[in-house]
Amino acid sequence: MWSRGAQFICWVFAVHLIGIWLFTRGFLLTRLALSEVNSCDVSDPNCTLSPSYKRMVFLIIDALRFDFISPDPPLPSSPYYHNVLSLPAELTKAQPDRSIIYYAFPDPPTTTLQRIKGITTGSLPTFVDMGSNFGGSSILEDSLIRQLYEAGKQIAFMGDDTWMSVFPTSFAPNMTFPYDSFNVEDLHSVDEGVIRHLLPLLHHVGHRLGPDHPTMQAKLQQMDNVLRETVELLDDDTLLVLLGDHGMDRKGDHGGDGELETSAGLWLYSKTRPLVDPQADIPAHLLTNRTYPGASTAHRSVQQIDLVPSLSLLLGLPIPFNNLGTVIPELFWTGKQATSFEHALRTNAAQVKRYLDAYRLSPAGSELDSAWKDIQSAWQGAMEGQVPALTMNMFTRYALEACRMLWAQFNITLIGLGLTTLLSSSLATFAVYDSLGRIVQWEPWLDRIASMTLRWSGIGTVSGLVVAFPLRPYVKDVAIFDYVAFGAAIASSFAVIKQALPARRLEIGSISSIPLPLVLHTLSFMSNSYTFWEDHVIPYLLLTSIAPFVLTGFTAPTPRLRTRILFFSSLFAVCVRLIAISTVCREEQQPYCHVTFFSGSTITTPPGLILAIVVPIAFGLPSAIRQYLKISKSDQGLANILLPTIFPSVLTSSSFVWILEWMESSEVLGPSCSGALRLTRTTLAWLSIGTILVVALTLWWLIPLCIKVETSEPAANERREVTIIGFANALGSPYLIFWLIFFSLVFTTTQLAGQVILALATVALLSFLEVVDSVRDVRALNLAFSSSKPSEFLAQSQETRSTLSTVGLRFSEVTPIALLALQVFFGTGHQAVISTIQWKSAFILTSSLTYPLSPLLVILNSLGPVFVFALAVPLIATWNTPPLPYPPSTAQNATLRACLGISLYFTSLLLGSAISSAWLRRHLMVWKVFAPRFMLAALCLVAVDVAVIVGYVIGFGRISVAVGRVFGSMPGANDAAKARKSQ
Amino acid sequence: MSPTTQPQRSRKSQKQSGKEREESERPAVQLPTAFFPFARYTSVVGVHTSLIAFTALFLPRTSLSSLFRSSAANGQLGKPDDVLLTLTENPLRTLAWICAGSCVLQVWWASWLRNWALDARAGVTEGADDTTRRTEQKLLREEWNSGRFAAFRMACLAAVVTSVVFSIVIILYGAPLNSHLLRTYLLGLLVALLSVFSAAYTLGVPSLGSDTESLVRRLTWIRLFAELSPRTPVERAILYPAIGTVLGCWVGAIPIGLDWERPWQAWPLTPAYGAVSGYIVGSLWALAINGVRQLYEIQLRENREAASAKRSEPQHTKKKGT
Repeated sequence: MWSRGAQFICWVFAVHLIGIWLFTRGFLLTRLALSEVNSCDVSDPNCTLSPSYKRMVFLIIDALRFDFISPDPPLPSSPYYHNVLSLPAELTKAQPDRSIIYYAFPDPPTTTLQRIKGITTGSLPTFVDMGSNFGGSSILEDSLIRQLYEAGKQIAFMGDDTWMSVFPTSFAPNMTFPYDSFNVEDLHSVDEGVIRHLLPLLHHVGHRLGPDHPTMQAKLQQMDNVLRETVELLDDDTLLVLLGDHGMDRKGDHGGDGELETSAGLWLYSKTRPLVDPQADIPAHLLTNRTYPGASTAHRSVQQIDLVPSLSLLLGLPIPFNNLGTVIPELFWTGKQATSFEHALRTNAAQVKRYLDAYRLSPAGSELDSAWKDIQSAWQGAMEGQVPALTMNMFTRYALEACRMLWAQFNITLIGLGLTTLLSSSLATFAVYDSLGRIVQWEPWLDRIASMTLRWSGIGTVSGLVVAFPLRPYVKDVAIFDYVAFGAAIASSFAVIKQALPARRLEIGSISSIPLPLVLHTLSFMSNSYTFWEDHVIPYLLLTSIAPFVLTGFTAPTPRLRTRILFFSSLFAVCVRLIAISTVCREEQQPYCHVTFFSGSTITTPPGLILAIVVPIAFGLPSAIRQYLKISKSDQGLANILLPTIFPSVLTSSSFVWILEWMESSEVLGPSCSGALRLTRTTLAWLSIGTILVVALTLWWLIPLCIKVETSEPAANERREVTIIGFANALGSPYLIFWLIFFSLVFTTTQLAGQVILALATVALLSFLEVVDSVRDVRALNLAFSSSKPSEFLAQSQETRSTLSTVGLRFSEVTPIALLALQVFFGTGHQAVISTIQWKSAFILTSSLTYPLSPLLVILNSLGPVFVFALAVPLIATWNTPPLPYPPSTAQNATLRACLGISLYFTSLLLGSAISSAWLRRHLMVWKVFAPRFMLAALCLVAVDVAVIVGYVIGFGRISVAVGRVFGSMPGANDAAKARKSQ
Repeated sequence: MSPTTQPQRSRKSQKQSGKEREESERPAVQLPTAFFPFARYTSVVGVHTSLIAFTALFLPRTSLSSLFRSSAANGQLGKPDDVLLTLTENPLRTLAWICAGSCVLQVWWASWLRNWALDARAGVTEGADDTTRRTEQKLLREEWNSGRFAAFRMACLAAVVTSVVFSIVIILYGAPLNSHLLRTYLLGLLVALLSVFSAAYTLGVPSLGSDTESLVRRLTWIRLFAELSPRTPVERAILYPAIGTVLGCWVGAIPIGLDWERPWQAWPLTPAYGAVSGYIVGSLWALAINGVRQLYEIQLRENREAASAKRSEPQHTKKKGT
């Protein structure tokens, strides 16, 4: 059963995995968010300092760039934003001991959510902070807010509602006034609201208009007035902190690590109590300066996260557990005495060391491998150093640098290696796909290719090792494994390309064979709009991809074929359009999108119409499938057993599982029934999944064929007549049953609206198969008509004829299946964002989180649609393909090509999204739009590769064995086989 | 020749147009080829495409349409922004005007095409003075003309039916299902007017009948619109603008997805303007291809003549020199 070609598909999968691995390691910065809390006793001198202030006013002005408050703005200064918000500069000039302005460096990514995390936890948030709340946005790490809360302080909050999603419970409810910040068109409502309750945002002005705009000036003027009022009202025990969470570039955007984006302003002010000692004798090496682009002098600069330990100690709180910042010397240094500062720094350094130790012990501890030795020696130095202020400062700074290297910097080398691997693997796959369509003696050729991939992988591994050792000291953060994997992948890819790509002239005619939908789809990832409107792009491309079939339908020589093609392609188009109605909108699509997958945008109950139709649809789907099988008379054998009984009951009970779930969660029958409902639906879910896996799969394995053999009683002196019903589709029909088994599994894990979508998609798929089959007939007939002697054509051996009809598998036949797969993904209530993962599906088999069942169900729910429709791709090659001559060499060739074709499609999408997210890694939207689409593309490619392996090796492999058992001994079969052998 | 056709003419080399002039001056007695009124064709295409462009860009802004405009936008004409503003402020009105304008233009264009097709079929050759043949042609033309109103009615019907079909196809491609239906219909109507009307008026509406005429008609339609292989200049003049319209409409849907929030991204302005531009490009392309083919055929014929009649040497060399 380990059939020919399986080895090559597995090689393709392995190379894809290597490419994804390399690219992801370079691009997707991840960090483990530790949930430990610094809960030391505040009375312990090693925990914190005695509080200098009782209260604090913490004002964040979104995107307040340093030059907006700088006393020395760059030249030429802008009338719109320089010296407008002038209070900080005025006060600093007048009262240098109570006011200080810093030039703060916010760590990239300079996106709002990441900066909120940074400012409150003192850590370096990455796009994907792994932890117990993967996907949620609330901060479970220790933070300043949390420490304040634990210390029993009251926290009032007003402003951007992002903070509410991050700290849902920490703010005092009667003093909390969140405002929706998403609508960047709306310049005033958040600010008005904040000013009404206290204060502001510049952010939206920047996003919409850029900084050079009169509105900016008006806004800053407004802020300045508000600040003046605030300062008026400040009491003696209160510290005023004003900061920008990040800067903005010249267009007013932020998100990346550009110099202007990482230039934020920071101002500390204490009304009466001295904040800094102007006479303090602080060694120069503790004070860093940075020059703002265009400014005449350098200004005192700090890391933005330095604020976290400094404020903690000033307020007498423990420093948050995850903090990597270092206390700001001026705030603790008095006169020549450094004791207070040394105390603060010691507390700070001990906390950083505690954090690093904890991270080292965590599952992600190996990330620190490369830096650990130096961290240890820096710590040793800090403990034993003669000048503690110096050595401990060095330790905390070194720790920050090391972590920044790990968590905040793209590794361009790995990104490049990953892209190269993916590109060369797709070239190799294409070369083999193309050659398989041309080489008649393809079996020995493919064997050669397969053994070549093995040999060259070995050679690549060795050379990777050889190259790795001399290169290691020069290239940062590329592990030995990366070299080896890259070497193996690239060497074998190039060997395959060289072997499979013969010198062939590129003809002008080949331009028309460029798959336009694929090209457009791949290019669309360069634009954020098309990426987040992808669910609308796909039906458009899908309809485009079916248009050539419709045109061929009009040219069909017989009315029957014409009607069939036109009817089934219309049915396909209608199904696709209906699927496209269903959507859960993603944030960026507002206000042009209405949620139809659920009955509303905030509730997760299915729409009423779906509730009404889902059971009939689930029950009726198997009979609809049967109608399709009837066309080729292959509703026999196994199909006759499974389709009338097993599949309707399984699908219906799957629908009931979700209907009961809806009843339970919306308490239709009252809360008392929930226990019984839970039990019933768990049982039903187990029953349907069990039936599929045990009964259906076993039956399929034992008797896969959907044929019926009728033997007529021989009349006297006549030979016995054997009729095989369902012969014409003997390869396709058992594969459809095999496909239905996986389909039912996904169906069970899909919510009600998604189940209707899956049913529609099945009808679309089968219609498309009929279209493809008829179009092939049209092509064959036209070929026969155009040949000079039709009789000659008919007289050709059966083998040649089947070659003509199936080897002509075209990429344009694979494209609709690939697009349909993604369309179903979007239609079943998913989007390329983490927040649309349907966690509910984790609990259909158990009422609590169970490993590995729950994650498996979520994966089935999310990637199942793509997996199942990729699994359907061998149907294009096998549908209505007779099993003779045996072995079905041409059908196998076409199946293999169909599998490689869909894998190519998804590799191309992955390449498109990977290149765009690497290219646009400084883009404002990279973490909201491009990176999630890349992650989806990577997961989809893995799902497709697995589907293709399962379909080709298990599905097609088992069917060809079974077909061989029935037809292998038939007259004619052996002749053909023998003929092939003798060739 | 109207000045609008000048750009088209200048695209061809001076040598070619000189030759063409020569061709039209020469008595074309012995050339039994399809009737091809190159000069007239060029000027009609020039005028027609210019008028179509005018319809799309100016008609929705004329004083006529301002009768129906909202009062808010009145009295602001003249500023450059207004061009876009008046075109985009009410897409439905813009579309309606484009449809109305192209309806009139297509009737004119289609009747011209029909005459051409008739002449081509009757085998009109300029300067033919065979009287019996003349009479035959006259009879044919009479018969043809008498069926004009019926054909016009059928063509209108075909345009209306296909406009519904196109609207459905547009909805299938992703146009909104439960809103903007009238806009979608007008887009479908525009595409039908630009692509189907002239074909239906010139070639006749295909039917499912089994008599020879309807079979031929049906096969012609299939050959043109499914196999995309025209054979005569008239067919090219019908088919290429139709392809241009559909492709332009398809391409026009693409910019809607961008998040630029511009008024011209309103449904269905971009596909409509895409269709109109596609139509214009297709018309000019048909003109170019027809012209080049015609010149090529003339060249071929001349070569043949030169080969058959070697005695006409001096004329031949003279021609070569031009």
